[in-house]
Amino acid sequence: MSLLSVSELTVAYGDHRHAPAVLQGIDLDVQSGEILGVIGETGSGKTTLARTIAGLVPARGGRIEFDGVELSALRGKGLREFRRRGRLQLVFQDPLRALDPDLTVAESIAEPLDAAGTGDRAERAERAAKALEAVGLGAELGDRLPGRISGGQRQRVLLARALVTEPRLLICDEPVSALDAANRAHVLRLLLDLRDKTGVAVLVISHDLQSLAGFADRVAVLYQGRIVEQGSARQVLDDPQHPYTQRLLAATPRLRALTSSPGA
Amino acid sequence: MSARRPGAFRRALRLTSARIALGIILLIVVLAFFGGVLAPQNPLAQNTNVVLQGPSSHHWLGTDYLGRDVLSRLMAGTGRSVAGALEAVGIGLLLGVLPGLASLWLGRTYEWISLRIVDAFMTLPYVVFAVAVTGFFGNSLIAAMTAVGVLISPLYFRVTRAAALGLTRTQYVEAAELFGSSRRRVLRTHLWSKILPTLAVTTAQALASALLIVSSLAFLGLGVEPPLPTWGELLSSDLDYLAQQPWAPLFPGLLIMLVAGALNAFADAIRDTGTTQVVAADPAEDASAEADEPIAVGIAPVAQPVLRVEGLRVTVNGGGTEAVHGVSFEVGRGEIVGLVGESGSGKSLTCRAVTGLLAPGCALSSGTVELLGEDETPPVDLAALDRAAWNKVRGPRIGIVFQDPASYLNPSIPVGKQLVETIRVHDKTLSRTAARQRAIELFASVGLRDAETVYRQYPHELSGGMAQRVLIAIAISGDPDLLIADEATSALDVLVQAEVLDLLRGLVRDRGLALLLVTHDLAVVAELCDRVLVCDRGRIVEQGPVANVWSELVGAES
Repeated sequence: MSLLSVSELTVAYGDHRHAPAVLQGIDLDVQSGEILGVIGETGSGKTTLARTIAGLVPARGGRIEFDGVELSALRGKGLREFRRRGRLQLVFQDPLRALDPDLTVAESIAEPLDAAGTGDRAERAERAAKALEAVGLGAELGDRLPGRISGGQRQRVLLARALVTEPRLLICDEPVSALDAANRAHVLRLLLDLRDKTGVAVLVISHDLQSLAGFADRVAVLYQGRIVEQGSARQVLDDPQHPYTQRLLAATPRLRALTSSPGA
Repeated sequence: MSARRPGAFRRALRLTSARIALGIILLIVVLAFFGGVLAPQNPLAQNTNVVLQGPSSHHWLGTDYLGRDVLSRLMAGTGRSVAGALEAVGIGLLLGVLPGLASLWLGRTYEWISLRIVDAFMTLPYVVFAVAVTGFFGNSLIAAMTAVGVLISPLYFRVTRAAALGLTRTQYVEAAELFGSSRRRVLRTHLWSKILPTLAVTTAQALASALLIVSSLAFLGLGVEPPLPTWGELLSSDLDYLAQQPWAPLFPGLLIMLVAGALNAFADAIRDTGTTQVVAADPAEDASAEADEPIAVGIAPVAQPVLRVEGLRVTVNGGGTEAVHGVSFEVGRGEIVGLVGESGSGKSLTCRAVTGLLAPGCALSSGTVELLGEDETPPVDLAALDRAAWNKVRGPRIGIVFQDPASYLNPSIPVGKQLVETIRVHDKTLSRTAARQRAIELFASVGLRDAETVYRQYPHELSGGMAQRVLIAIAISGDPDLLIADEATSALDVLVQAEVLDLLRGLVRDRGLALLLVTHDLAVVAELCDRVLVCDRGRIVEQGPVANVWSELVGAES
């Protein structure tokens, strides 16, 4: 059974019945320990997809199932309890805005544990320190404020905060698009290592094919609110079927060379 | 809870003005408690030998009509004056902040009802209401200031509600929600520290106003219990002896001004040193962290969008500084959207970027600006147009009206001829006579009476309102889908402004135009717009239907 199973998901903004759909009939599955890349241009609905699965945007139709729980049916207390278990975490796109500027790094990372009331203060601090270490940052960073660390560090702090509850699925919205090449490689490497070590599944949303090549196991292409193509990364990147994917690939010459070469 | 940023107060106190203001405020606090004790003489002791004397070594500020020492009376009166102001502000805080925070939990019905109540209270004038209330409860300062407190509470309500609701849209609050945090926890961890400075600013300002109101009421004789002094009572009794002692009202007047000024200066300092949200990262660190998805405040898709701006960023100083940080919005057909903000908020830069009229040194650094046509027409990417292509867009697709019509009209050519030129640029097949006929029709359609005469007039012969109408006629002569009015009515007097706004409304209705109205005038927005976008420090911080945003705006801007 899939870890995450999305079927016939439709999302529209606005209350009225005829509001245009942002996502239409989305079917997606993520297996345990799998990295699924969802690629799409600005306005394709990819961020909405991440936010809907996380439960920040209500779905108009369809089902979202996670680990046997029907997420789309959870409300109020049930939803809060599910969230406090921290099995599914969303890593926001912009770490600067997703971290409270008045909380120290350690406080932010411990927040999911605080919210769930896990352990005592010392235990939470210890787990936060471990999470910092797991993303390759020193514990001394814990006392700093988000405004006082670099963008790459912030991105990793965000990751640490998501990992502190030992989730089974991470949804990453453009985890590297704000980073320079060096930091980009670092964060992707980190996610791969984490997957290998902990078996966490990753749903990564990106507009950048390049960052998915050699990283995602499977790729789904989102275009105008629909998934127009999905398959193994190699299959989609080497032999795109949908005209949009073909155009997207044609616009990324470096990537073609990379993925066609056997070593990539 | 270690290593927090220095609090709002500590940061404010780095300013000299704030330190001076705080000094004055502390002095007043001391006087409020110990004024009667510290007074050099008994403030109630009468001495008929020294009635209405000027300042002397014995009586520094002179004496009043009963020979009492003015300085001592001022010092002794501080307590009662300040207590009245504190009472009003305390009641305002209590009645305003709690219901304001309750907006976080309670639904739309609560919001609607509370806003209506607040609206009703906001229409009541402080002093008159206070006087009316004392009509029921007798000549009591406590009753009067309770009444003032009730009237101050809407201010707190709005400020608190706007801050709380604004913060709940931040990603870190969303994240907290995803961790399963309760609202109360979110309030404690994330919101409280950011609302407090706002409340401090509001409180300092409210205290200054309340002090003036206490004094005004005492001046009117309200709550005065002779012979006990208050500042306002001193002021009014001084006025009775104005002929003998013209300088006397100066002292209580100056004191009231000084205190109100210090409170306001302190409030300004807290606000200016930055409250929340904007994080000053080390500039040396990567700027790429900011270069990201644009801020999206309740993005509402528009039914039939004509203009779509996404992630617009504009740099100034030759690319050195970014002044617009990822602005996104849409304007739909038949819709009037207001883009409001103070000068320097980035609204004009946004407008200029959209119209391709950025000044030298400014550049559109990223983002898309799309002009969407009907059905099959492909969208035009305005960000990529060159000068020649712009000329095909400005006029037939986008009409633009600026603040100062006179400077956009050629002073040496009759306005009719200028319009004919524009018409014939867009439609080269049109004959001269047909173009003239069309120009006169256009003039008539923008409400210029006697269009034939106007046709022959030079710009200097027209009033400001008429010139603006001419410019609007020129702007719509190409039958555009989108009209952009950049402070188009700001230079006009109120009556003419109302007429021009009527005209714009009519044009949107009759021609199905999309209208983007860039203005700093909230009244214009309230009057005309369907939706409003609020620009602040290069970001759109608020958007929504006018009715929704309006109440929050008034709170925030007051």
